[in-house]
Amino acid sequence: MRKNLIICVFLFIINSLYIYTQCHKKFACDDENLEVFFDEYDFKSQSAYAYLSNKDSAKVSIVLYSGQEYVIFVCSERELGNIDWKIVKPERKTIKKMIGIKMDSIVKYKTNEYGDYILDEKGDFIIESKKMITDTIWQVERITHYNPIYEKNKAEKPYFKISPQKTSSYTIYVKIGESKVSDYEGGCVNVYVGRKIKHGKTFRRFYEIEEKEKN
Amino acid sequence: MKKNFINFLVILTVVFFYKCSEEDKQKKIVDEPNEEQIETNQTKIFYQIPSPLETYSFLYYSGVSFFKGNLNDPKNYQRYLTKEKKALNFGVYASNLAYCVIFQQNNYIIDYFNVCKKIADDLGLLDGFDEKLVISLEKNITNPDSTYQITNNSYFYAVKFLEQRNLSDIIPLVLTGSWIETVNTISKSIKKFDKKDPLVKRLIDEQYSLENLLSIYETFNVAEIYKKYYDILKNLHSFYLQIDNEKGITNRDFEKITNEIKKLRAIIIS
Repeated sequence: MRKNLIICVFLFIINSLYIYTQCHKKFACDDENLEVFFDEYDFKSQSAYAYLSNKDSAKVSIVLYSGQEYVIFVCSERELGNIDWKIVKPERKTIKKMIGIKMDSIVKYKTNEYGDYILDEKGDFIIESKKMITDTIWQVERITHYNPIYEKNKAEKPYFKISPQKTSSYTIYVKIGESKVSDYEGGCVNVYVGRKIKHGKTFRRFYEIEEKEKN
Repeated sequence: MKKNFINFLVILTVVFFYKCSEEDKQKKIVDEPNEEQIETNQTKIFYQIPSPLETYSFLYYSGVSFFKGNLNDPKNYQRYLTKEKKALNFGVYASNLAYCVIFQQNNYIIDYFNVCKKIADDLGLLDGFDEKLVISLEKNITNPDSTYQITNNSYFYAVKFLEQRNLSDIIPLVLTGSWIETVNTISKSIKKFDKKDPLVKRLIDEQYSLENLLSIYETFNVAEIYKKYYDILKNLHSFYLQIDNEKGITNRDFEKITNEIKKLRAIIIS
């Protein structure tokens, strides 16, 4: 009986720890200025939810695609006080240098009727043909600079809207200042990344246009 | 009683130290060269991979047709006996489900939801795929908005469940399965290589999600454990890096990329 009671208490504590940190279920944004976005945008793809304490920080790396509209904002439980956050866009420069030429083989593997590669009984690919070609060897160096594109403390609006011209990764940095709660407590900080829901076929239907051009 | 109480304290201590060691692991990742740093006690790091629904919406609106041959047959579920294979193919089937939902293939939606549910049960995922949702899905199968919402919520809650529990042996694999299946569908939807084709551009854009996926392996320190998958992903990334910024992607680059995607997908679903 006592043993069962201890197991129950243990399970209760573990379960409580789990529920306690479930910020994606427990807490949603209660700012009127931001609530409006929840109808128009889908936040389930790249939002991040964290339980943070005093002076903690979080870093969220996301991918924003061209041709889409996004809104980004951060909400936190009131007790945590002011949250400092910013969005940084990495600007990349790739330097390619040719360092030589090598002989390379193009291997054609056996496929099924759907064009997928099939494996033999040992789990190896089945080679159908091999062709030797000359291939250039490149040395690739990538230099990345990080430019802040939004800083909450300097911005007029508590959110950032963007329609990227080019697909890129972005990083959101969140920092908790000295909050009203003690060092041993914390709260939910949710980084919302919303993609505008498209109604109707708003993308350019490439293949259809191509078909029309052919006709 | 005393013995039980001591056992209880030991378990609590283990849980506490496990959580602390996870925080330390995440903290190490902050020290990246060139990157802006924020000095803090602890930094929690999240690398996000867009959900398959987002990518399939793009395919749908690009005018691509549904092709059954892009799916992994739900019957293959019986082949996946290890936790590793189950996690990978949970991702694959979740991607297939999203594909069927976006392209409104009602005949397949329930089958793929059920196979996701079976694997979710096997892996002990308590959130996302449950009996209530199967019933709700069956009731609303003819309503695309509802099937979208249900699938969107299921995938979201399943992934968040893994994240909250910090399940390092499952998260990278689920995301690998889901991502590779989605990019494989993009590449198979390209009828003929044309660097102006939005699908080709999208395939190039997937390098950013791939970078986040590789970072997830590194954050969880599983690159060595799952070397088989990590190495192919790393190789795939090296082909992305070779694309010339000015001239754009060549047919040869495209072949190398799609070939690597096909290889990894074949290994995963075998």
